[in-house]
Amino acid sequence: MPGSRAYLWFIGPAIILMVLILLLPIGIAGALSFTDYSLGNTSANFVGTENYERIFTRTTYEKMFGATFRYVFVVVPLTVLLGLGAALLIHSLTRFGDLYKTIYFLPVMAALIAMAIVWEFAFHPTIGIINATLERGCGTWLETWDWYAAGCARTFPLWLTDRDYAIWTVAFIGVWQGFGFNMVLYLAGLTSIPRSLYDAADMDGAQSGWERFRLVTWPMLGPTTVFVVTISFIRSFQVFDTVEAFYPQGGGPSKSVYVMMFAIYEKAIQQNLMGIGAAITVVFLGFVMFLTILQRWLVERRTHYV
Amino acid sequence: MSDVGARSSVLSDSLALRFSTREAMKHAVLILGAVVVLLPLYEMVSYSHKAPVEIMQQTGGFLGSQEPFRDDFCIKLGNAVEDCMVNPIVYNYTTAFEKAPLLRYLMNGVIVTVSIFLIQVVVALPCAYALAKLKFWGREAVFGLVLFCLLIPVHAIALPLYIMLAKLGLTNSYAALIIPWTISVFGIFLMRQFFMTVPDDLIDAARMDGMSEYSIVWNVMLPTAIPALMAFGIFSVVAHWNDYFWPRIVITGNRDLFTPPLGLREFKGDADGDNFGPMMATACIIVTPLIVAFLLAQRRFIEGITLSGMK
Amino acid sequence: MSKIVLSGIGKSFGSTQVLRGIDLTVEAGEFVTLVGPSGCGKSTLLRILAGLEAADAGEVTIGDRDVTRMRPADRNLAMVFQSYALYPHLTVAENMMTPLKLRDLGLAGRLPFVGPIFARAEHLRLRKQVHRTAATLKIEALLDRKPGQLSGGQRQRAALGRAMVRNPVAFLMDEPLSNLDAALRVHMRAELSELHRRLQTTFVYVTHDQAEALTMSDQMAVMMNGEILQYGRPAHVYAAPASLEVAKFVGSPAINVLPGEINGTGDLSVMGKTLIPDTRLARQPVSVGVRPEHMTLDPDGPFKGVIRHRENLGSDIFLHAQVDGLDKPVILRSHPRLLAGTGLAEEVTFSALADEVHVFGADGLRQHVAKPSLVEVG
Repeated sequence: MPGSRAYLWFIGPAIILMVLILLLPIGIAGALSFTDYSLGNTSANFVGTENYERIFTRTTYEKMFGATFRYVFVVVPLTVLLGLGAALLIHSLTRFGDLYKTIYFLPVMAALIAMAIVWEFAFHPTIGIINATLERGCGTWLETWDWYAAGCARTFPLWLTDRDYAIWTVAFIGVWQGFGFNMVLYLAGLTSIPRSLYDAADMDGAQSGWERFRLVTWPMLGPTTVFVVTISFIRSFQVFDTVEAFYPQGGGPSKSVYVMMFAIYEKAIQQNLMGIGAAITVVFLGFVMFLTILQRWLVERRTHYV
Repeated sequence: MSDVGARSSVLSDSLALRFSTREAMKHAVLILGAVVVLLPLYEMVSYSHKAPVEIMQQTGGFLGSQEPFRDDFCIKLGNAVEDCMVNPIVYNYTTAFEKAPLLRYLMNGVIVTVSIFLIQVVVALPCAYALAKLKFWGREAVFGLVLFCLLIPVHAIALPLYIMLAKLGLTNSYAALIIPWTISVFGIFLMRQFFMTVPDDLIDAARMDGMSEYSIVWNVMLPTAIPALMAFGIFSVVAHWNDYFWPRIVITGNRDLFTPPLGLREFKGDADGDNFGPMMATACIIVTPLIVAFLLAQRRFIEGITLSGMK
Repeated sequence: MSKIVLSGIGKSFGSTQVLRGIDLTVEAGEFVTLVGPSGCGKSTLLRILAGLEAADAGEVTIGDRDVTRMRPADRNLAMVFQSYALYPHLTVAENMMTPLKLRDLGLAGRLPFVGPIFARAEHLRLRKQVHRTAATLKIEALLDRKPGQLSGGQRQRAALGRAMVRNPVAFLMDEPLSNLDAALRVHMRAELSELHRRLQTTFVYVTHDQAEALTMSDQMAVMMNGEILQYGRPAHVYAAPASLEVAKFVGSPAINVLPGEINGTGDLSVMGKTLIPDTRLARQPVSVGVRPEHMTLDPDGPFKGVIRHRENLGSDIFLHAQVDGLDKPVILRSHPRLLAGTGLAEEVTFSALADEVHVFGADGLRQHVAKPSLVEVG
């Protein structure tokens, strides 16, 4: 209806909220990152780029980047590959496909904090089921493997309290929780591939599953893969629940699990150092936004319209 | 022409037996995966039925042997030993509800997730309609704003949001739990895509019938969007029921406002070995509603997740 | 070139039997069309021939080899799909290279980036083959484009190119023209026929459009409900349909079906008017089929009707005449010049050319009439 101003009421609340809740905080974070503000202070003192310098030089933050990148670059490839593998397997089944789909998706539904606590117990060095099961294998052929024999002789790794294993154990839990989500996305992508392309591949001489995968499946899954990878990156950058549940103070054995979200929490909330917390937030946002834009650009370029 | 005769082979796919080795191997791999996937859930349910000694020593099968055990805490309070023998399941689950106000936490969870979803719909639906069907100056700019905001994960800006709320004195309140999530740009985007497929004629007919724009949104667009709304709703409820990070930041003192994940965490905070059973019982209670709902409405859940992929 | 023989092909999907004992022989170099309404099983038959489906019963023989159990790729057939099924992420040239690469290159040659280095000579040879085929189809300019950048007709040619490049024993086509607009379809019909004449390869063509079947094929098989009702030259199928169903399916506008009767002395009468005396057939009720072009306006004609509808196509006029006692109007074809005056609601009389009358018994099958040597019987 020409002249109707109804639209203002429709878009108004959304715009106001977007500005207040999404945009304004970015600005505030940016501004605060140049100060030494603490909650409760009446004012903030400008400290220039001191916070950023700290982030990029001090060892604590070096560990922060180390932990975060280790986590992200283990969890993302594994969740994507396992998600794809599970999707391919389940898609090709004639029966029970739905059952497996349901089972593999359950970890995504269950509150991560709950699952983290159970995993923590499972990984307990003495009373946890993981090491208990490993113990049972002592004295068998498994001991030909050096690592296993060493574990039987002394103890098996302490997993979550072990400086060498902590980050990988946390990453494992992240993979466990996340690959079901990617699996569902890949399954949707697989069902949208037209059957006639596979027929054409058969006629052209594609004989093995691998050839069909390379010629039809993988290219057609291109946009899905880009989306899955991006979502996985963003989710894994935001890891917090497991880390805080296992290591409420300090970020793991010698800070090996000191991921960025936890660092923000520790610095800003626990230690009330808003300035540096804001700086880490800005760096974090930078990574995430860069990745998403990259995804957009890639999808634009590579979408193949059938 | 190449030599065709030399490479004849069996049409293995269509002539395969029902239980071919390939199928069997696929199942084997998937079953192995299922074991790993279900392990924690299995443990969680199992431990919630067991006595402390069984938990420590990994005995008792799936549901525990259900032998009564001695409740040490009760003895500390000065009761006689015979009065303090309790059945594991009963003990675990009643302690779960007594030691911390679990019912209250569950209720908080419901209040928070439902409020968030409802407000999200009220904000997003009209905006999506306007962006999809109404022509007005600045429409492209507003949509551009929506697209830009899609890049911002709310958890990433938790810190400044916390500061803003703290300054307003709103920490430790339902408002703090709900407000940051009221704007769901993802919801706007999803609904807009959906609305663009609704024929313009339908809306023009409504206008001819005398409906106001406001009425069109809620009486014409909403019913057509039910499937997308349901999917979005599921997505939203799951995400916010399970959210641990934001409530952790924003609820600093008032235990009455704890959401289920916080309640569970608090349990762990002052847990020692003896309280593991009740803690697992709490975990079961928190996790179960979503899983049951998921099992009942699988298609919608998965649709919801996949819709988010149809960007 | 090889002869293709399908014998005793049967196929069921679940409890529905889609093909019942099909026997078909395609001589080398022929253009054979499988034509029929949707659901008659023609696409399934084609897919069984291609090897994309397995028959429940029967054999497929190409030349002297039994290929019933062979994979599609080993049968050396090529298929053009209704949706073209071009690989969207590859250029036209790469699409056309794919069957050649899969067939002729070993594993090393097929590796994504290093392949062309390992098998340089091979790749060059294959590329030349692609160019030659592209030249035949006049699509050289399109070789570097992706399917998404092509129009419908161009994609069709690219799909044809991919099929042609491997010099198959036969081309299989599954409704390749149905996604094109009407004008392009007519043009492509001629092009495909021309291509067939030039290549002299066997074509097996599936369509639901009887016009395509009539215009393009050397032999056509009319299929319904999983059976081949008639197989023969298009002109023959048109002029001498083996059953009422075939007569109704082939020819547009559809044949007129009139109720008739053979009396004790073998005279064929329709609606009380004797059409052909002494047919030598037994006494029985029959259906009489007369094509619109074999009905003529005749002032002395035995049949009377009222014009309800006129269709002036420019080259022909079709009159729909309502006749007492018949549910459906009788359609007559004539020429605009002859019918300038005839308008709606006019009463007309017409007759049928006795030579072109088709008689079908109660079972729907053609009855052979002892033709008297006469012209119109009035």
